[in-house]
Amino acid sequence: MGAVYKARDLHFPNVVKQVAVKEMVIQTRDPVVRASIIRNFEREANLLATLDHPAIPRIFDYFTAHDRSYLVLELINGKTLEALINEDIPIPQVIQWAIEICDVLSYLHNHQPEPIIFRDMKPSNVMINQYGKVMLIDFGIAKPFRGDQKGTMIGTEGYSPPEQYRGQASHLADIYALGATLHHFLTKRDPRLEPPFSFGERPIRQFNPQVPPELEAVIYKALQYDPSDRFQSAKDMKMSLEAILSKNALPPSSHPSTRAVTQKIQPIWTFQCQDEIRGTPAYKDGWLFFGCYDHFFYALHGNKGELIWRYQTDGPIVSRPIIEDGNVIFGSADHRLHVVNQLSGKILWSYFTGAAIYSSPVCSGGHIFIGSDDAHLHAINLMSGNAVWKFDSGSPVRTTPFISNDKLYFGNEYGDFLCLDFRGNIRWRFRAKRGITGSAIVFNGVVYFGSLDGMVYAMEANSGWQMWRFRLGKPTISTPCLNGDDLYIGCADGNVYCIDIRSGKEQWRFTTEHQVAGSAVVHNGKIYFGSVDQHLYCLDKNGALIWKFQTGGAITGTPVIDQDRVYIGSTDGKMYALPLSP
Amino acid sequence: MKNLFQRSQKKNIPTTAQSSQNMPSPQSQASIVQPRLHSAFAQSSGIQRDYNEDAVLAIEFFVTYQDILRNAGIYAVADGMGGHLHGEIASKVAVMSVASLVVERLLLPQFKPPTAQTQNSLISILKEAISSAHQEIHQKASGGGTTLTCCLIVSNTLTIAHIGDTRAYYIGTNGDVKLYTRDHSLVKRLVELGQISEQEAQNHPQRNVLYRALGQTDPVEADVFSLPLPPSGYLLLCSDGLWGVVPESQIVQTIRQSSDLQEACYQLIQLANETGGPDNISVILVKFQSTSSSE
Repeated sequence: MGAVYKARDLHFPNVVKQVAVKEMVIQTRDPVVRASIIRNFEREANLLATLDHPAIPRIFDYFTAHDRSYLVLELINGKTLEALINEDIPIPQVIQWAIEICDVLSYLHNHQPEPIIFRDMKPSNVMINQYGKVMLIDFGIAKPFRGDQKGTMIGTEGYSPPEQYRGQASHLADIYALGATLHHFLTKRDPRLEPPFSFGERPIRQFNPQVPPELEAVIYKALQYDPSDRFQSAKDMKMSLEAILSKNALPPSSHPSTRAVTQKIQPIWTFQCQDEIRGTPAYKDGWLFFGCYDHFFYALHGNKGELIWRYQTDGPIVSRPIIEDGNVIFGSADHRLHVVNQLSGKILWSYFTGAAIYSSPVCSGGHIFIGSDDAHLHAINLMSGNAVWKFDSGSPVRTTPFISNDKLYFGNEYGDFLCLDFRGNIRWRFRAKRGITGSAIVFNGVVYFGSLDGMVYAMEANSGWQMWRFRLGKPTISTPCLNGDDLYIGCADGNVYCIDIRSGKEQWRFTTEHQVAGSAVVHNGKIYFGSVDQHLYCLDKNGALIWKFQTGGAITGTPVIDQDRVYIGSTDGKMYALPLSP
Repeated sequence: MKNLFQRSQKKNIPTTAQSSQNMPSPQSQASIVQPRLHSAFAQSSGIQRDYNEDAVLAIEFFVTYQDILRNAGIYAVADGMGGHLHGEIASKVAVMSVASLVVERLLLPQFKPPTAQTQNSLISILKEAISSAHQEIHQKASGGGTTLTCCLIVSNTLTIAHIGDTRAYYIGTNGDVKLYTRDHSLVKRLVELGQISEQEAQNHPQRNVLYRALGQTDPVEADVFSLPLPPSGYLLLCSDGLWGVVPESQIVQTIRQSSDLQEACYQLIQLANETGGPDNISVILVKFQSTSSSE
């Protein structure tokens, strides 16, 4: 370990000649180890002295003084690839640098009398100088690997190939490490934080859709586990990279969203309403039910999209309906909860709250629970339509209560999150920094919800104890959706995030053009959700786009899926029925 | 303490005579279910070594949250890396650092007036503990390295932070076993990739090679995750001095057949030493059983 100094060469007193002086402090007192360290140092010096390549810094001198050894090298003005990782570098430029690295590796590997293996290719050892050219730095660590001692650590973790741990490092190790370096640079995923040899588990294009498939293929060929499956020389790899550049296979439209959709999705039917559809439909027995901002509530044939009946309220409807005992139940901005016969569309009863209802009902044990802008959560007897109790939360309740294990979970616009028992008594409460508009879900004893404070929370459902929280890019009003150990949630920053529910760590994110207000649904392993950018998206479980479909307006609701089709409303006033695949 | 146990007597929900689906009986809500924790541990330097580079930690305590007393425990095993400087210091520094951080974040706040500060999540507490342990090793045992597996139980949630090849197992009362941790070792990775078999891994010349350890790799990345604690069973934390030489089935059998936790720990140590005791051995055994306590 040591510092690098910028120095002036006083052999040239009349001009300013700047050099880099690399210092190594010899810490050990053991004379044998000291001697071996100094030998290594001189080896690097001698090695450098024999090399002559524009991408390798020239050496001017070396010396040892006191407990320190010094190399005097050509000063390189520039930044390392590690420092450049977070800058937006165009793909052709990255390929050009990769080609230059191949060049210098090829030079080293063909060195006479014996080939030189760099052994330590990683972003921090590649510098881009002031002319935009690649320079390899740090020829210091050509140490043999020793794995015989208890608890030994492996070398430069992350970038080294598997065979290096068996003590065999050929020039193919440098090819692997170059693949690892490019993988890190393009995905921004540091391999030192991941298990060794796990590059295949982080597909490059998933993290960086701008990378053309051809480049991804070249990198994965370099990263093959078995050395004989890799490029057999740096020159071969260089040729493959040049082929990508010359083909100019980098059209501006290499964005995946346009690429993946090979076939166009055609709606099976659409149904036009008089105003925006912002809520989520419900599907039951072949019928589709949904409310609209035109104040009407609709029942359609799911098959053909024909109107069966419609029912008028006195305000916009955003509440997602539930169907219970042959009745359709939903709230409206006219302050009322409506209970309507499923077959006839005739009212059974309605229940007045003190303000508009944007919450959706849930039903359990013969009771309906729903929130209202009057700040209350209402418990209503399903048979009589009478209030059983109402709970004053202090602020409008727009979330849908979630029922689990005889408890109700919901948030309000002030940011309180509450757990009540069925009698309306508080079990626990938690306060987020901003409002909670997205609803909660409970699974396996853990409650998950997002907040306008930009956090997703995971709490023990029994006690409200926080297990983890995850910071999104912006506020969220989306309700989490679970799929195995994955949690999906939309965000105002335009992303859908996939978070591991055990660790609270991001797995991937998918970026749309506008905020994602609705929630995702999972069907047969695929993820469906809408965005305010007007599109309905279908992703695979790794977050790769399968198809997308453009409606005429923003999508703020959540899709509903029956066996072979997906239904989604849009602010263009249409309800769409789409096939699950083109 | 009155407030802690007082039950509010407000609105009672009327039973709906017409409906077949009645509200659940109120009794089910009068209690809070949480695990009762008991633990024991044992250590041995093994037969072939005369120094111990392992460190263990086991503390049980209570935390008050939402006006309810909740059972909690923090358990940790660290295996200092031999062949490195200060292996035994690194492991001790790691467990001490975790202990002091958990005490500071979970235990002490309840003795102070409440602040507006938001509650720390369990995962963030352990993440903080890992990074403070890492830094302390750099300061106090520079060049040293250690594994660390720590389990934090608060109420019904188990949170685990893990780095290296010490392990945490769940052992059910009916004998089912679950390994909660994933070894950060080269051979484990080769097994995962299908390059070598489990059998080959056991005798692999590089079975002691780690790819992550506290105090060594920078940046340090631990596996930290939470999961619901099963209703009853055992939690076993151990170093590779145990799991590397005693078959899993024998470990499980020993624990299930023993009537006493401490006895079980001694027996496990003995089993490992009977195989030749090639390494330091550390065992923590936690028994937990969910019980209803009155609110």
